[in-house]
Amino acid sequence: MSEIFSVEVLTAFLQVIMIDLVLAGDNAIVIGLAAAGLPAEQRKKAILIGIMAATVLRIIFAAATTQLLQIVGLLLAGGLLLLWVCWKMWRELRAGHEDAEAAASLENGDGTSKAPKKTLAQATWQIIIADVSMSLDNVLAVAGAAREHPWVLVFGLALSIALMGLAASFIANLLQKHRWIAYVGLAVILYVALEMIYRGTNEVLPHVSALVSA
Amino acid sequence: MPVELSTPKPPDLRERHGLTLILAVGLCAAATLASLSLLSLPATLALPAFSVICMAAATFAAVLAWLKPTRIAAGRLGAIRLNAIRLNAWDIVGALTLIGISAALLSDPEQAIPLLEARQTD
Repeated sequence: MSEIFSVEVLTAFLQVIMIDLVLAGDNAIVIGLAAAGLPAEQRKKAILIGIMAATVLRIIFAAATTQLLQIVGLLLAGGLLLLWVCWKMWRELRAGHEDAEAAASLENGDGTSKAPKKTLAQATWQIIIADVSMSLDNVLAVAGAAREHPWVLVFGLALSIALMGLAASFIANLLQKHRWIAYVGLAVILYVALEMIYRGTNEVLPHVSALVSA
Repeated sequence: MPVELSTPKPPDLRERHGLTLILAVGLCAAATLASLSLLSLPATLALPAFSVICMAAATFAAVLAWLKPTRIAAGRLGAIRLNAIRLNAWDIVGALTLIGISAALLSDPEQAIPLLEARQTD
């Protein structure tokens, strides 16, 4: 019984959770952010689409890791794409605030407002674009570990799908009720995008300087 | 014929406060563990440990909210009122999840995992 709670097992457990959190965490925040503005029924659909897209993309990227690692500037492109998603989300959040203020001042007598709503298609596109960037980053980041311990990553992938679904719905429910927290989530995604751009630029710079000096 | 009047049974105060109390005690324990881990662990391990504690606390709160949806999650009986903001257990679950994920993303697992492996071999 004591072997179950040994330091080795707990350390391995902590490692798997950490890998999973890093693998699925940013996706969960983006899916939660994108799904938060939707009605409850569409929110579930958006979360499901986001998880399925992330899973398929990860499998495709993991299968082609060696080829992807040879493409210079992929990380930079992914970071820029994610930055664009951040910009779109920022604009939506600002527009949401302005609409809410306008709706409050122009609210109809029956309590209904004419504020425009986010559509499922809009949310789905945001999720898929963000999934492409972040799945690419995650797969490339754990490529080294995958070569040595593939079973850990297979187990991690399965666990990260469950984690992504649960975390995204918890976050979406929270953001639906407390919209201002979406700015915190957006800041986290912005940090991920900027980090990707920084690492991508460091990767591209030697190639650019070699081209310039040649 | 006498008419028998019945009044609706008031909710059991002990039960409704008991569940909120379990949640509060669990969150206090998680906060203590998080503080201890931040103070005692090396800098590279502090954020990963904090993140795992937040996720464990979120799981605990989610299980509690899921087991007793009408008592805690519906935001009627077990809700906490803070500065006119009504919070329920699912809000706490969402907030802890967001904090846990943010901590994991801000930490550097590339540094933390070799350190964990080194501790394991010692």
